[in-house]
Amino acid sequence: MSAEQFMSRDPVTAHADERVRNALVKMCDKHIHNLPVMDSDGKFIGLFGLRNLLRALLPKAATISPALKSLVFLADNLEEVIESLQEVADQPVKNYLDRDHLILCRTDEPIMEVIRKLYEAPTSLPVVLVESDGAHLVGMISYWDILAHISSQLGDVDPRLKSACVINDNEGSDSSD
Amino acid sequence: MTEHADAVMNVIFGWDPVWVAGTLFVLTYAVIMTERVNRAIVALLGGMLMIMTGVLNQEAALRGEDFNTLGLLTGMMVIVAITRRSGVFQFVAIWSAKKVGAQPWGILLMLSVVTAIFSALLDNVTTVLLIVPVTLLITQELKVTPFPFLFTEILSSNIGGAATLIGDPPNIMIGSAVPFSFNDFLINLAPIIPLILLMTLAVVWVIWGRKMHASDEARQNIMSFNERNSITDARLLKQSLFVLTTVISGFIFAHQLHLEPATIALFGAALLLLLTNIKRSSESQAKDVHASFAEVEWITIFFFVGLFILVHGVEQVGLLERLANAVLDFTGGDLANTALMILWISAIFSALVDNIPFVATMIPVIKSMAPVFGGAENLEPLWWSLALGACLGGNGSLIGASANLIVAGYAEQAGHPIRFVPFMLLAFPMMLMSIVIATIYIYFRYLV
Repeated sequence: MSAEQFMSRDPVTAHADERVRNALVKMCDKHIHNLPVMDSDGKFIGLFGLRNLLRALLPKAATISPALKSLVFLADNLEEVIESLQEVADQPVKNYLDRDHLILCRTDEPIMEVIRKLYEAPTSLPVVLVESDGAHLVGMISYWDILAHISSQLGDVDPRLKSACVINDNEGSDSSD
Repeated sequence: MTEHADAVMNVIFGWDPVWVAGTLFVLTYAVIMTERVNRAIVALLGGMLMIMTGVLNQEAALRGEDFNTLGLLTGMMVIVAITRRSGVFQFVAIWSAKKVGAQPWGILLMLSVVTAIFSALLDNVTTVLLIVPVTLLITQELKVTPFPFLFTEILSSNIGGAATLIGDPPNIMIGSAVPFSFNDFLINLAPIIPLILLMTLAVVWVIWGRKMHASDEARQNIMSFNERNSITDARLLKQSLFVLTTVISGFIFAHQLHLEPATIALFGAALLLLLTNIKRSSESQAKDVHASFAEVEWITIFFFVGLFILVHGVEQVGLLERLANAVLDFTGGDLANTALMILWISAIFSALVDNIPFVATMIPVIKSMAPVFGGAENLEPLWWSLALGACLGGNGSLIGASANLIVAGYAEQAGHPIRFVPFMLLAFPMMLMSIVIATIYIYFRYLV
């Protein structure tokens, strides 16, 4: 039972130069938290997720390391957040990729390793096919993909559990985190 | 310990111990300077090779370790690691920014003075770790470039650190080796520090300060910060301030108490750990103690561990005495010439290389000059020259002190990188200015 068998194929993607605005529309449309981002050659270069967006809204001092541990002393300033969001929306997604902490999954990885990786990194897992010219994106795995797959194997053992786990099966992509 | 008692001279292959020790020492320092391998790794390897080649045996090497320096550094690091969780440093930074109506120049002044004071009482690296994130937040809110702020904080941390025994590693080492008390440092070094800081700030005002401006709206943002909210744990704050006050009082009265600084700092660390853990489960205690110890800068500590062995090795084979004689030949054995030469050479060296290995080497060199100047008690001007030169010299370049590199690392992450050459073009002349002031001070106070 390897990653290839329970990943979602043909995931929605964004181009590196695509505006954040556009990427957000795609994500909201499909109820997904992470978009794989591709360069002009169609190579996978990273994930753009809602978490990256949150990071971009924060003051720099809260995201560098070691960071300010709390911003509780700041005034409740919604306008400032809106201003930041508008600023970010017109930037290309490639400016916000988290390239250093990207965890990838290979097509042949066993289910327990996939679950471990999802537990370690609270995000969807890009599934890649490693070839001589680099890693090619072939699918995505979210918490829901795992659950959907397990439930599909439940048979008549536990029908209630089975029905509980298939709620998002028809979406066929990442809506976890 | 008698002079050279530790030289084992059982060197492998019957090689000349002077050559083996000297080569190991020079090679280690050269690799440290390249900064290609982490300095703790290099110093430890060098120190261990000093033992493995037979220049020293393990027992002799351990006698080279300055446990007072190691204990003082570790103890203070643990105390600060716990204290910072209370949010008190953030509180002070925001409070001081608001006190000046969030005017950018006023904030720069306040944060620099706060940095200098904290650096005098804590170590410089810790201080900038606490101040820089708040500075970046404030400058982002003010929509002003952070460079002048970070630049001045670097300078202030090294200047403030020069004022006390615990402010900067060179002082810790000197205080431990001589031994000078906390008060000796306060009486001899602290008086000149405000003037040096003032002159530095005056230059910063001419370069940036007079043109600094922020919009009323941006300033209003800062004024709306509620610094009281940054105190996240009032109980911890009280415990930490109690221990910090106890420890600093301990340093001041160390002489009367017949205690060394390391004992006081480690006692403080243990006391604070006890106070913050006493009512917890054993599991939670283990976690908390582990987390507090993990924040100790072990790279610095192990760097010292290796260096002390290396320096002890070259000292025991008699190399440092030769170096001291060379210095004395050059200065004609004149106290004033020797003191000022040490001041200036320390400053230039510390600007270009790490000041810790330099000071570690200079301490035995100066000690061995005692007979020439009529006893150890007459060496005082040399020690203060070494301390001022090494601490202030750290301002000469971005690699001159660890705190400088920490600030640069932060600035880079925040998207405002500090480049080596532009920093040096401004900082080096300002460092020289501080050494000119120190020269006048040392000359008139100790040499006429």
